[in-house]
Parts: sequence; C-alpha cells; structure tokens
Amino acid sequence: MAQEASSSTSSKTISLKTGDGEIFEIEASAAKQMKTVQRLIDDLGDDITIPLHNVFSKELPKIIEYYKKDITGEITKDFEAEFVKDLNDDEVKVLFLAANYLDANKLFEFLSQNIADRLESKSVEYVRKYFGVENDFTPEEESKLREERAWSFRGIKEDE
Amino acid sequence: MEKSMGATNAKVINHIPEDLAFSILSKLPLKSLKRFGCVRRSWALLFENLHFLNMYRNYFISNNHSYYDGTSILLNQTNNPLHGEAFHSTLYLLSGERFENMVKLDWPPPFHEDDSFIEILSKTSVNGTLCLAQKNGMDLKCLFWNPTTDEFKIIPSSPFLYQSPYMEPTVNFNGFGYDHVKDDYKVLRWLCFFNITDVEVPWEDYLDVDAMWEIYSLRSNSWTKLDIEMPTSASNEKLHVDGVCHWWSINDDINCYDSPPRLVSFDLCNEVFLTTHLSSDMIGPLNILHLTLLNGFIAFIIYDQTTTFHIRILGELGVKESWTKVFILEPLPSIEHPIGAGRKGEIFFRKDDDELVWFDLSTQMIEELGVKGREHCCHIAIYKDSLLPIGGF
Repeated sequence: MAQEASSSTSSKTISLKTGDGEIFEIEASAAKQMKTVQRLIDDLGDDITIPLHNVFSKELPKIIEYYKKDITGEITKDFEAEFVKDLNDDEVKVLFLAANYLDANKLFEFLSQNIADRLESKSVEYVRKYFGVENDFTPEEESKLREERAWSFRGIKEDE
Repeated sequence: MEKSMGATNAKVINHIPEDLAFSILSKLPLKSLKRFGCVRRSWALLFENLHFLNMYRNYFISNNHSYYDGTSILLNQTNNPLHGEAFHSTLYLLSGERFENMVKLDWPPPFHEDDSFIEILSKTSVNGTLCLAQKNGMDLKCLFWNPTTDEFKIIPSSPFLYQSPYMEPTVNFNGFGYDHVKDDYKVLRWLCFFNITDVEVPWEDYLDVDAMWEIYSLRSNSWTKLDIEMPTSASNEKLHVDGVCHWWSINDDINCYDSPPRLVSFDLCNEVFLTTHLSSDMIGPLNILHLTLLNGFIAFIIYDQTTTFHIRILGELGVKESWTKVFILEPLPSIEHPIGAGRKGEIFFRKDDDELVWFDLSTQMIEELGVKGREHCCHIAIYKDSLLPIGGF
C-alpha cells in the first residue's frame, strides 16, 4: 500500500543519528549493506531517524563515503588505499569497531586487513596497547617464550 | 556532557574483544603471529584455538597470491602399465573451476608420443617457458619449451659429463628458474660419477672425478661448474618461486650419506644456498614428506600412511621453528599420496586404485579427474602461458 505512494527504494534516503546527536543521510541501498542499520529499519520503519548510539560524528561520514562507492561498484584497490591513507592507527581502529557495530562486513574485512598490514612489524608492547589487553604472563614465562620465538623478533624494533 | 562522552568513548575503544582481534590476527604473516604470541597467554596458543585456526585457514585459502594470476594447471601423468604394456607419460592442461576441461598436449620433439618419465623441472613456467628433463639410462634430454608457440630449444650437453672415459655420470636435475638480475634462465644440475665396471683402467689414465654442481645459463648457452657443496635433491618435488629454487634432501652436503631431512633453497641470482631443517615432530619413522607450494607458501604435506595428512607452512626460510601446522586433512580413505597443489587451495592426490583426484581445502570435497596414474610418477605444475619467444630475447 505504501509502495505506490513513496518513491522507489533506490532513491530513498535514511536518516541516521550518531551517539553525539548529529544526523546524516544515507541511501537505502547503502543502508542495506550495514546489517545493524537494516535490522533497525525493519523494526522501526524507514521514515524514522535511526539512532546509532555507538557510532559518532567523526566516523559515520567516512563509513557512508565507503558505502556510497560500494553501491556504484566503484571500490577499487586505489580507492581503498586512498581511503585509509591519512588515517592514523587509532582512527582506523575506531572505524573498524564502528564497522563491526554496524555489521558492515565488506568494510570490516577491508579494515581488518589494513590494521594487520599496519601491525605487521610492530612490537609486542605496541600491539598490547593497541588491542587494550593485559600481559598475563609471569616474567619467567614471557622471557622463555621470547627466547623460543627469538627468530620472530629479528629485525623488529622493540620500542615501536 | 560532551567531556564525559569523550572519556567513555576513549575507554570503550581501547579494548578490542578477542573475536574481533582474531579477524585482524588471522590476516598477519606467520612471523608476526608468532611474535605476538608474547602479548598474552591466549595468543601464545592461537594455532591450538579452533576458532582462530578456522579463520586463519579460510583467509589463507581465499587470499590468492599473485604468483597464480593467469595460470593453469599441468598434469604430468604416467600410466601404470599392465603386463606387456609400456610406460608412457601424457601431459594434460587442466582448466575450468573444477578441472572439467582436460586437454592433452603433445610433447615437443625430440620427445616421442610414447616417451615416459619426462620431468617438468621445478613445476613452473618462466614467461611461458617450461624446462623438460629426462634421464633414460645413458640418454639425457633437457630442453626449454613454450607449449603455446611450440617453440623449443635443446640445451646443449655439458662438457663435465664425460671427463673420463672410465667414469659414467649420474645426473640429478635440481631446478629451473629465472635470474631477474641478469634476465637469464638457468638450470641447476648435480653430477656424480661411477667407475664403469668390467673395464680395466690403465694406471696412468686413472682420474678420480668428484661429484659436482653445474649451472646452465641461457644467455651464455653453456654449463658452468659451481664451486659449492650443497645437498642434492632426494625426491621429485622441486619448486621455483621468485628466483629461488627449492628442493629437499636427506643427503649431506657432499655425498649421499643419510642426514636429517632439510629444505634446500638456492638463489639463482647470487648462486648461494640456505638450508632449513625440519622440526623434530615433522620427522618420524613412518612419516612421508611431500614438498609443495600452497597458495604461494612453501609447505610440506606429511603423511604417515594412515588416512591423515598434515600440512605445515614455512613461516621463515632458514628457521626450523617456523614450520607451522595449519591444516589437518582427515580422514582421506583410499588416498595414497599427494601429487601436487593447485592454484586456490586444491591438493591433488593419487588413490590406491590409481585414480587421480583433487581435494578442495575449503569445501573438503574430493573429486576424480578421470585419469589414472602410477604411484610417484604423476606431478602437477603451475603454468602461465605467454607468446614470448623462449628467453624473451
């Protein structure tokens, strides 16, 4: 019954409200790629502003930019390289967690690969801080393991 | 209000939950993963965590190495002759998602239709060129061949083969590949010599000829002696990746005395080699090793003559601790031995009834190729066609 009255799905836009109260528009076909958003649309309807408590105004525009390219089939290796070029490791992490929250699989996979590439030559301490995890080894256990895996530390600067 | 939001934000985003961490970790190279095992206890045991292992395996299989771009698979098959029949080797080009297309290719001259035991050296092509080698008693054939253009070039005989009329050479081809520094195609061979029996050697003609290595260069069109002591290949599994020829050996550096098995990697550009020992749990009295390239990585398929096959991927050349057990294939009933790996995580095997089959690592399905072969006489090679003339020059 609403089908005839409203515009076709391809040009319909959805309003998204970030955790810090800003509103952004996204095309319905792009919203479909973010399963969390789609689920909220299914529950709340597509005329309501969809609240995204865990995504903020710094990240959402970037995510929308990615999926705008995705629906036109224009995502290339060059676009992806450009997309993350000026982001630091922490900024990528925030995007990665947001992509997870939004259940945006393609972006999630791309960002996890990008983070892996960034972490490849990093030190153990850097990685601990990055993932926010505690060292639960005893000093003896850790030094024994480092000795066993000494080959994996070759060429790595431990203070980076 | 905004300040506290910011603070909460920072706290929330610092910790990445473990299952999300695995999505990142599963995409790291083995060296990084092993180092990050020192981050926390659960990460030291990543490869024993089934959830992580499945993610790692899926990524490994789906991440197509550029080595395979535009390639096809060659099956070098030798029949298992019935009584009275002769051996013959047939070359097939396999294509299609499930290898439905099998096209027979004719061996180039001087090989004949019914020739057998022709080796595709290092199981690879360089700019569309294959190196074929055959040893039939005293008969030694070695040539370059481009199956697309049918051009072939016979490699001349080596001056080192017959240094003494009383000594007979035994030849072991170890590798074929590309030297990108000199833009040259090279063939590596090991020779050892035996006294021709029943011949009385005059004292003054006695010449002790030591085993030696020689290398052929297409640019110079000649064989040169290599002043090197290196273990020669003990099997038919030879590989070439990025200008390095790999094989494995149970021989020591000079002779054929038994030594622990190790991977030998010879750099064609600077003509030096590196050995990588196998970890002790890879070696066992019943363990059989098969060296292969799996999705661009050097790997051993290890089987103990039961229905279980393990695959160990090498994390770093020269480091015996870096052989990581990634795949376990079981049960594979009636499968006798591997014959090579394909382009996207397919592993080709021979069954005990001679049928040649392929196993898909991602679906775990086995499919028959529709051809039979003799044990240890069938091999897979990765081929990328090209219209370039042999040597490109």
